[in-house]
Amino acid sequence: MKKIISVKNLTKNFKVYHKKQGLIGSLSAFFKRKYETVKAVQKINFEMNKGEIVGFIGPNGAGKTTTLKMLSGLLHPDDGEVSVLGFIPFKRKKDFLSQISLVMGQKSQLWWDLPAIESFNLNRMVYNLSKEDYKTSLASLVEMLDAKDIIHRQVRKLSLGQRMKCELIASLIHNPKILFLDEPTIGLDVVIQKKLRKFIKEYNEKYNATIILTSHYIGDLEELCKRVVVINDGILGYDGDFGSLIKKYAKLKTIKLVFLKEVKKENLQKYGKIIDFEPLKASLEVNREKVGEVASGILNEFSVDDLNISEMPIEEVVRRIFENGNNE
Amino acid sequence: MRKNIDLIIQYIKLNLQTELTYRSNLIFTFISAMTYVFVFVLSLKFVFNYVPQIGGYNYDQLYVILMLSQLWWYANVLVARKNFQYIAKAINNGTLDYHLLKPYSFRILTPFLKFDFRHLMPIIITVFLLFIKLDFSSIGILQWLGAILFFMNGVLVAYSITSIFTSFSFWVGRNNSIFDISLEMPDLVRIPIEFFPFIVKGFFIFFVPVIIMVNPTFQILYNNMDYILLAEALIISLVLFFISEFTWKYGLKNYTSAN
Repeated sequence: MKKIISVKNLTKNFKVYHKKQGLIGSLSAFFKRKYETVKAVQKINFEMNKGEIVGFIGPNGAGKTTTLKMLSGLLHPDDGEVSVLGFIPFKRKKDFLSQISLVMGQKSQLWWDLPAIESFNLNRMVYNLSKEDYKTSLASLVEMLDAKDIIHRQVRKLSLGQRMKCELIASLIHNPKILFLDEPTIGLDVVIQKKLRKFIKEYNEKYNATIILTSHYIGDLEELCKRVVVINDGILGYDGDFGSLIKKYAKLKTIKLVFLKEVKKENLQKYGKIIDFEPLKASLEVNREKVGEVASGILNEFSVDDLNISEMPIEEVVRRIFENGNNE
Repeated sequence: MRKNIDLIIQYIKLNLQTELTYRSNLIFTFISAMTYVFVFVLSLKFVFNYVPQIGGYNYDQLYVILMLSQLWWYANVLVARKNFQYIAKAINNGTLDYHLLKPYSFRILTPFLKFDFRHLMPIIITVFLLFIKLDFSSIGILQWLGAILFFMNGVLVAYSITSIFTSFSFWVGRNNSIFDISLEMPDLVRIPIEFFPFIVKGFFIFFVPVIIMVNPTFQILYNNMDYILLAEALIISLVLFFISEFTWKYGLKNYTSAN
């Protein structure tokens, strides 16, 4: 396997100023500021092979996006070494930039007042694509994302999901070898999330692109990543197989139930650990492998108005990993 | 080079398309810009109804310097002000990311990122208003070339100064007030060099270089060159340009790319 990303002791600190609440706080900070150093990324090490999809997980402020930004060349590391495709990213060589792409769920590169197709065409020129290559690439992406009807619509009139499809097209029009995806499914409904995951998977298979993905949704990682890197407070806590991680730290799923008739707590206990109970509502923790069986049993035994199965929040998984002190 | 030219044309086209989306905005900017020019010309005319000269300058000469300063202002808005306002905002909110990730020369594209077409028509009309007062028979081809060169030099000075102040946004996060300061510039730019008292002349050449924005162009058109001023204008422009490149490159290292 060809290694195309190599990170050694990568470190980044930010100096942020600390302000007390309210107007008095603002006035005093105007004259005298208290600065603190936030250790965003602390001496992390990892490598990636060509064609891999690796998920970066961690709570908000863990250092995932900062790592991605250092890998893509947006931020200068304070310490350590980073090599992507044989380049030092922050030197921002044109040969390097033309082989990567960064998609950020919360930022847009599209021209707001114009149809997305205009931004695609601009990127055609930015990446020096011939008209034929551009047409082929655009047609393929539009088909994969089912976006034919939206690319001629003004960007400001698109829904969040439609805009994200266009962001992906704009970012992938030049077939980058490395794709950095920073929370691409944030704020999207489950149907669009699913479509985007399918697209990312197809794109990876079709072009053998290397993809780094950050996400708060376990579903994204479950469907896309064999390998995950877990970061918290800038420290790398786990780098390995996603399946093993789930088996070890996210064994349980939560079933939330709303009943049509009152139920007795003792009748429910056999299905799992009750974490919340009212006669008409309950929440159970159930082993993820048995969740289907349990849900079916509950539906047969009780009059259920609503049933919702959810993953353990990613923050909880990360907390368990760091509590355990596991470093694989 | 070819790629840069194609990209510049594409950016200009996209900006034009954006402006055409909002028709009334386009029309009202044009009206307000032209109202300003006409009101100023009229007030100048009223003053010269009572005095034949001001400080040795007749109506035609002051009219020309006024038109040159207006042209300088519109050109400044077109290539510097709007673009750097956009860049300062992008530094603050992190949207500069997408420009920095593209394999192009961002600094070459900067004057065209937000190419504001609303000022193009006032430029054409101001050029027309300028030309009707110029004595074409007394201006040779070298004078024309020199005048154009020094006019562009004046715009470059404004561009470099705006760029330097915009680069400070990399450290301070937000630095909008600089754009308000530049709003006061045209009032000083349109004043002939002779009107400045001797002791402040150096200050307005070397520290706040308003004197070198349009005065050299005016002097060349009227064949009344002050060669020391011309040399100073070129040197200051070059120095400011290199400082602006340095502050930009150094500032980029401090870019925090807000989320």
